[in-house]
Amino acid sequence: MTPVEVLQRRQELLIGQDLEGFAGLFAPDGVIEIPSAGPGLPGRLEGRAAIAEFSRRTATGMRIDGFETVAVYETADPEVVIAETVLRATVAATGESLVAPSIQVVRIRDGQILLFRDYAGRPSLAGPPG
Amino acid sequence: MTPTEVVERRRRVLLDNDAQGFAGLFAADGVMEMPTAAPGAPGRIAGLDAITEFCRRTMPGVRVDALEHVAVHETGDPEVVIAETLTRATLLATGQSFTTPSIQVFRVRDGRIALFRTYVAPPTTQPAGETAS
Repeated sequence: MTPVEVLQRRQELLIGQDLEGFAGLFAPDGVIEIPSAGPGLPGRLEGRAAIAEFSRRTATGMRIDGFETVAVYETADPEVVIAETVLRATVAATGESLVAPSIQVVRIRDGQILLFRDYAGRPSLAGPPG
Repeated sequence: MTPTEVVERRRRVLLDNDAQGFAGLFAADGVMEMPTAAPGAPGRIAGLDAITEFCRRTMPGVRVDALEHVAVHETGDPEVVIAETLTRATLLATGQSFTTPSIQVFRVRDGRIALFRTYVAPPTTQPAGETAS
């Protein structure tokens, strides 16, 4: 897969709630960095196993409805692509819709994610439930 | 200036706390977008006059102490450069220092910023008087 295809596949897997598949996009020593992680959230996850465990823990209670891809940039480094996206999700318990714009810097080698650095703000409510 | 030179120039005017100099990097119809702005804060400011007014109003309350370019990415679009930054700043009213990782997408045309889209995380605050390492 090309880097852009890997990003597309990531979105499909998350929408399909295939967390094992999502973790499997990472190299065994792949890393997620969340520079904007708030208190109580890890700023860095190292290794596919930690990524899978974190994904399982955080996915409960949230349904991902879709991603809008604002822009995807190839960079001067052929391994690095940058994507601006807007995630839309629903809180299962309340039915509230969330909108979370973010931008990701991703380093991909041999079709596997080595580094996924995600800059996100606080999700905001999209509007009334439904 | 090339897009990369504009990014470096932005770093210097912010370190100088030069609000007018920062606004002056924008094109007449330049746009500033803040997709992760907190509720109540503006998410989009269009036009040099509005950007100048916004900078004049918001920048004097904050002193930029350090601005590190973690990475500057040139992209497949020659007008677009993306900068990952780590900013340490102080709120002058309280003396409170904070460190904010952020990332900006610059679209630069004819040496002026046509689009500046910044994703800023909620700052990590530190007690007054402490400095970030």
